[in-house]
Amino acid sequence: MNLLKKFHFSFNNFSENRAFCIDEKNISYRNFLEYINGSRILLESGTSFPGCSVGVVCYDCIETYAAIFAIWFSGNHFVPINPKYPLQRNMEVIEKTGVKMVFSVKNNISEIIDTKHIKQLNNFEIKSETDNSPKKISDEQLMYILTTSGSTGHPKQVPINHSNVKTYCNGFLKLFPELKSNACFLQTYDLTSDASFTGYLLPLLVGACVYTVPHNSFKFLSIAKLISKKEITWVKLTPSVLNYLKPYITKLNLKHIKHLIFGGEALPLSMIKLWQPIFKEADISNLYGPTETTISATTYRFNTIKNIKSRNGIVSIGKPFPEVEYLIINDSKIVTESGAKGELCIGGKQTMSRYLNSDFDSFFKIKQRGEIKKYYRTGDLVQKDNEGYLYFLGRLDDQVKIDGYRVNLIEVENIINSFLKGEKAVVLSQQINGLFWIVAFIETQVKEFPGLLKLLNKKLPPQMIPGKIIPISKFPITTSGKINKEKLRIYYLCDE
Amino acid sequence: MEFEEIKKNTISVFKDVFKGRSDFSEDSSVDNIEEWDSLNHITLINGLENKFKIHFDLFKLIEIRSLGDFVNYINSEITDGN
Repeated sequence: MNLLKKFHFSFNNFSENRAFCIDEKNISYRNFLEYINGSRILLESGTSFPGCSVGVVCYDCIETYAAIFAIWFSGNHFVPINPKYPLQRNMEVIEKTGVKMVFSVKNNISEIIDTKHIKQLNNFEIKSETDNSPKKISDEQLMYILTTSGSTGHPKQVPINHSNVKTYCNGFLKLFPELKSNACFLQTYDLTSDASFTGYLLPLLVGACVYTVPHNSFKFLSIAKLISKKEITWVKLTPSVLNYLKPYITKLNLKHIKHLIFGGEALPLSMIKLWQPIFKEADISNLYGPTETTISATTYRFNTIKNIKSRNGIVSIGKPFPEVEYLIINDSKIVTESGAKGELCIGGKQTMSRYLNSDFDSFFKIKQRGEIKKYYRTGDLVQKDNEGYLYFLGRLDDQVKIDGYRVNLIEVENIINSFLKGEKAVVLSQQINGLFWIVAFIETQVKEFPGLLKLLNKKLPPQMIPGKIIPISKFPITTSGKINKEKLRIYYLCDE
Repeated sequence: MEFEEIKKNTISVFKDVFKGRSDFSEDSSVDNIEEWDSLNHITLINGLENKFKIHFDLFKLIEIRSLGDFVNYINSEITDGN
């Protein structure tokens, strides 16, 4: 049975179960399927043919999730549009992915996308009882296209197909067989990030209930409120969320959580030691995986703070998912033996075939058993121990994770430099109370940059906007003549 | 502490957090201050807790979206405390 048929079967099989709890409103699987069918009719009565990119402006409502499944059931692929992102960024995504139609529950979305050449499908409260099986699709057909911050200084489009997602889902359910229809899973991620798929695809496959986080407040506060509900048993979140909640740790009673899953950022051992007594009954898992390798490629699971595997204060990223293959290569692109540090390269059925509309080659190719195999170069420096556990040691480029989002600092730097007239900018990340934010330095004689913040807000998503812009009369220089970023960090940023 | 004094002290914490801005009023909110993100929200909460020697209730914080909301909350905390 293909993945879409499995979803369709689950929605019918668990028709009276709760599929979602959104803003304290319960929606059954029967009801959810009606929303999907309504959106599907809307989509199929348009000019869509199978295999098209269809956008969804992702609000926290049932219609958004219904639109995603309607796109899949009708043989098309999903492109998320973030209503918090600037119009220019969203239009770049739309143009690069070839989106011609966009679902939205709101009519006035002119600040989010340019609707002149895009057909808008308003599926607010659209339902239908006419249920059709999902269209036949091949494993190679795309399921979604996500946009990530690029190490080349430009965003990249990551196309993920049905085979990639099916392999991931099968792997997850093998590793977490306890996920059953009685579970309540708190989905804390933005729908434009691939980590969000874990929070709804897997619960919906097994007939469980998905709790979502409202968009109308500070996310970490909404998560704190929802996670305290006694019926929530599964949670996946970024370590940053717990950092935000640290001052309130004594006020939270979270003993009802049975599975706590981290993902999106390196997981500090100190955080686990601090929070484990609060999540006393929970099995804790650390998931790792770039978007290019479909949601998560490795996992490390434990249920006691004794003997947690870690290096440099960071919890191990564990072992690969069942169908994931990997290599570790050194600076000379030679595969290293166990114990040596090197770049993690991931292959197997979860890895994308290539970026969309880009010649950028991010693969390591090697001849194995008579055939050329491709491994995605993650840019992550790792080490493997004798038992096969992997440890994340850092990045090989300027990429940082902010609230679970990948941010390539060079992309921010490029936009600032395009604004400056002859001056130069350097962008660094700073850690405050365990949370990352971005700081821009500009070599200049002036103190203010009217219009710069406006430009950044126009071009970049919120997590990429520098929290501070510091003018400096002269950048410190290394002996080889490069800007001395370490000195900038020591002089101006004091990581805590 | 009088309401106006609470407002004045709250504004001074806002000025410390959102450097370069001075145009604060009770209507200053997450909708009109672009830099008011989760990190700045936490910084505001820490600053206000230190200034007024109070502790915000985690779940009541969800309702706070403007400077005026903070002033009203602090006022009720201080009044109840008396």
